Order: sequence, then C-alpha cells, then structure tokens
Amino acid sequence: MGEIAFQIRELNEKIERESAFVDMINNEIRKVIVGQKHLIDSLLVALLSDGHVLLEGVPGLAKTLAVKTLADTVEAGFARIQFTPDLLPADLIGTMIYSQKKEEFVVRKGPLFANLILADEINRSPAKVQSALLEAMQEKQVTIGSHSFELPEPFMVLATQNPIEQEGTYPLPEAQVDRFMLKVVITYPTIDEEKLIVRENLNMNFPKAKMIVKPEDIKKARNVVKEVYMDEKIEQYILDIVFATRFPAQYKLEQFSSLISYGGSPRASINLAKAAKAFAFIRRRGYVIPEDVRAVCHDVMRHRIGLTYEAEAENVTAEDIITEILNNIEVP
Amino acid sequence: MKKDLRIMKSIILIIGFIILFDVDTVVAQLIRVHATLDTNTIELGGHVNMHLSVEKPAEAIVEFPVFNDTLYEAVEIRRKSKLDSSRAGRNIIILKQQLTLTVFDTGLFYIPPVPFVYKSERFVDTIRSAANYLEVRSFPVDTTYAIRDIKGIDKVSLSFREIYPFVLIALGLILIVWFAIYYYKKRKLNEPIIARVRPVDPPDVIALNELEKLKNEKLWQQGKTKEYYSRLTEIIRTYLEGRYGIMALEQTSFEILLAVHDILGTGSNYTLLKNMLELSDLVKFAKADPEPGENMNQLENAVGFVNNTRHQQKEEAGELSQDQYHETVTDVI
Repeated sequence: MGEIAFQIRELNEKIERESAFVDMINNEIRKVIVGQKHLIDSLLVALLSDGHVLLEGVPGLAKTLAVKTLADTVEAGFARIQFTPDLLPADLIGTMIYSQKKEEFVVRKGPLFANLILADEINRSPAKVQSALLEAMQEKQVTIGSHSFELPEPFMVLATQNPIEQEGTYPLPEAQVDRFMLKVVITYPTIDEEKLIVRENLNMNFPKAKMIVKPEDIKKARNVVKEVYMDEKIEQYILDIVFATRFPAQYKLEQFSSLISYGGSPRASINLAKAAKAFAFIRRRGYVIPEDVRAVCHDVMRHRIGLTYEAEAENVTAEDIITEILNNIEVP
Repeated sequence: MKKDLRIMKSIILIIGFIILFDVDTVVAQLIRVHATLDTNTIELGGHVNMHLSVEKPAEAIVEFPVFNDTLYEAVEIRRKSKLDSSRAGRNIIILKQQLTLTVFDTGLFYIPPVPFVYKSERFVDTIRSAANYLEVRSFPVDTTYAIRDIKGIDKVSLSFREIYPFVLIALGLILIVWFAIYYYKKRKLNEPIIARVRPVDPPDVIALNELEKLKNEKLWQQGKTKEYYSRLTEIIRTYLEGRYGIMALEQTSFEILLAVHDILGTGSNYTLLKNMLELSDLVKFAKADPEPGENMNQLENAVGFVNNTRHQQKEEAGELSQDQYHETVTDVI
C-alpha cells in the first residue's frame, strides 16, 4: 500500500482524536434506544454539520425519546415545545413584559433560547408559528421588541411530525421544509429489537444516558468536519445527483420528467456535501467517498423533490426517484 | 259351362285391369305438385315469392323444371333458392323450391302451370301445377306536389380495398424519400450506406485490451496517478458489468464488493479486487500517492483478476497453462 498524502493522514489522526465522543454518544444513546441506528446516525450527522432535522414517523417509534436522549448526552440547554393550534410566536421566541420593580418593559426569552430544541408535532401549529421557528433556524437569532438576540451555539432544531394524521394540521410549506438539513423517516423496529423493547418495559428497566459532551466539543468537532477533504470528483457526483432531480432527461431518466415538478435547490447540494462530510467524520475518515454521499442522500433529498399529480396517481414517491437516480448516476 | 265362362270373363277382366293400370301409373297418381304465390298483387318492381313443391313417394323420380331469368313473358325471376327436401311420412318426400319474382310493367299477368317431369323405367309423364295470376299495380301519384328530379345516387363510403393501392404508393414514396435523405447524409459524412455490424468482443477481451492501452499511456509515470486509478477501476467495473451483470459503474466500491462476494465468495480473486478498489478510492478521493511498484502491481492484479474470472467457456476453448497465464500477464504489464 502506498503512502497517503500527508494532509489527509494528519486529518485522519485529528479525526481519530476529535471523534472519540461520537462513539461515546452512540453508546449512551444505545443504552436507551433499541435499534434505530439510522436515526441515531442522522442525528449525529445534523449535530456535526450544524443542521436541523425533521423526523417523520408514526407515533411510538421513539422519536421524542431519541431527541431527549441526545440532549441528555450533551451538556447543553434542552427545550421541548409541543406545537398546538393555539401556540403563538411569542410562546416560542419570548416577549416583552412590564416589570413593576424596574418600571419598564423587560425581555422574557422564550424556550427557543436553548441549544437543542425539540419541536414536537410541528405541523399542528399554524403557519405564523412555524415561520417564527424556521426564521430562527435560518438566522440563528430572534428579534423581541426592538432588540435582536443571538441564539446559543450549538443551536439545533429537531422537529417531529406524524405522517398519518393530516386532519387539523398545517403542512409545512416547501420553502420552509427546505430549511431542514435532513428529513429522517423512522421505520418500525425489527422483531428482535421489539422483543427487547417489550422485555425492558416489562422489567421497568429504563436506563438513563450520561452527560458526556460539552458544547465546546461539538463546536470543535464541527470545525474538524469542515476540514474533511472532499475531492472534485465527489463534488461532481453530488451535483450530478441534484441536477438529475432538476433535469432528469439529461441523465437518461426521461421517465421522471413528468413526475418531478421541481428538483433540489442549491441548498440541497450544500447540505448533501455537508452531510457527506459529517458522515465521513462519523466513520473516522478524513475524506469523503461516494458511500458517504449515498448514505445521506435520501435524508437530504426526500423533502426537496416536488412531485406532480401524475407521480401521486402512479404511487411514485420521492424515495423511488432518489433510489432510481442513485442507481443510474455513474459513481466516480 | 256357364259358370266356367263367367270365371274366364273375370280373369280376362282382371288381366285387362292390370294391363290398363300398371304400377307406374298408380305411382304417378300418388304425386302431387303445387305452385303458389305469396300474394297475387304487387306494386311495380316489387317482389313476390312463388313456392314450388312436389309431394312424392320416396322411390319416384320427379324433375323440377329448369328456370332461366324469365318465368313467363314479363315475369322475371330475381332469385332461386336451392332445392330442399323433407320427409312427410314413412314413404313420402316433399321437395321445395322458392322463386322470387318481379315485374316491371303494370297489368294482370298470367303465370302458366309449372311442369314437373315424372320418370320411370317404362315411361315419362309431365305433371303440372295449377296456373296463377299476378296483378301489378303502378304507384299512386300525388299531383298536388311539384314535379321534382329523380332521387340521386346514394354515396357509398370508400372501402380499404379501394384505397389500399394509394396507401401502398404513398408508403413507397415515403420510403424512397427517406432513403434518398439517408443516402445523401451518409455520402456527405463519407460513411458506408449499410454499416457493418462488428461482432462484440467478450468483456474479458475488452478489459485486457483496455488495460494494455492504459499501460501504454504511462499515466502514473507522468504524475497522473489519480487519472490512472480512475481508468483502472473504470475498466474493471465495466468488465464486472459485462461479465456478471453487476451495475458496477453505478455502484460504490462497497456495493461492488458486496455483489462480487455473492458470486466469488472470499477467495483470492475477491481479495485482489478488494485491495484494488480500496487503494483506488484512496487515490481518487484522499490524495493518496502510491509508490511506483504499487501502481504496477495494481495493473498486474487487474489483469490477473480478469484472467482468473473470465468466462468458463472461453477457458475451455483455449485454456491457458500456468506458464501461458504468466506470459499473458507479463505481456500486458
């Protein structure tokens, strides 16, 4: 075996050092959550690449528990906000209240001023509340009265939504869904995993995750993730995937031209690259390989592809389209 | 004496009767013929059916008359049905025929009796039906309306049979025009009019040729190591696609190894491929710069992998000995 370029080798060593906490977080979360490996990986990818996650799954799949457990492992502020139809933007970001003691209006910060936010059932609140949250996600700051306040670092929103109950909900507009780096679809556990879940619950055995990471560790890890080497070939591969969602015919996927109403935005390319780097970091690599891109592609792209009525009529999903694109784009 | 005379008279009388009314005559008496019309009144040019029937003993031979286009004078025959026979009793047969008649003149027309011929071994007789008459009336004219032209000829839509010669001509013309354009383009590009189809080489032959080409290009010697490994893996992935039907060009190294593992197991060929792909990934995506000896080894490994895994049939046809195999590898390297 030949010699790996010096910078990459150095970076690999750095990653070995800095990513040690990834295994520790993994171990702690696995103490609490049975199975859901993909969910845990996705949460770590988002945490390391400064992204937000939209979790979708039927009730009872440990969405909320997973987020709470992740928060438990990080020594950081955690807030859970249950989105309801009567929630107001001020309930999220905070408001000005009159202090009789000071005889003036003072700022009372809302639950958004925490490091990890769990926005439970985000689609149960009206658009103005969703907008307030999504604006904070994008700007990393909120304005109360005439003052702007920076949100703490790291700031990560994990929103959940239930795909089956659509009555009385406010579906997130496409432009706002795009702000979530990943949309993770949570599936049912396997039969063995569920057997273990049942046993643990019957024995009333509920382990707790230990706090093992400080916000500074995450910030440091994020800086290392930025250094992960991404070759030009991988960049081209990412662009090919995103462009194939916009112009399928150019990639010999004419059958999708009538099924896709709009493809991934430039934000899709950026997030695919960032997520691939974070995934490589989790796998203790200082460089990105096509496997990393493919591993995160579904989560990054599934909420960024608009389907036509024709696609809905033919039961073609964004998942099918992404899978087909990955199977047809030449890997570098 | 008187009594004998009376007996003699009776015998003579009986013999006379037998001579007078022989069997044939009796049979002829049993034959009945009919010729009846549906109606006796029609309008000018209208049709009327005439039913002819013969009721006869089974052994009797009766011939129907042969009709031409005209039955009698102005009475024309439009259609004739086939002769139909049916059994009406133990020994009685009925023969039937229907004639459709028309008349293009007005008046009362006489239709004479229709003659049927009875034939036996000893004599021929003609049996006739009853005569008929047919009254042909003209149309009533309503004089209160103005005089107008005779109704025009009905238009009949064209059938495919009528237009298909034209369709064939049109298709022929299109074909000629297409061929003329095709011919012109080919001549302009200086290409042969009918392209010869080259037989496709098997994947192993293509791969070995490409590896030979790659060796001659001396890419890594010029510092183009990344390009060298990209080409090397592309050749091997194309070979895997042709050889095993694995969509290797659209798969990552991990996926390729997974698919190959199912086919080859974890033998030496799998290890060769695994090392090659892993090192190539490092060069392509992690700026790795292998030593010259390693670069040569990888090409040698690629040739070895192709030779070891090429199609069985090919090996059987010209199986290489161990020495020949090494010669091939060395030739390419």
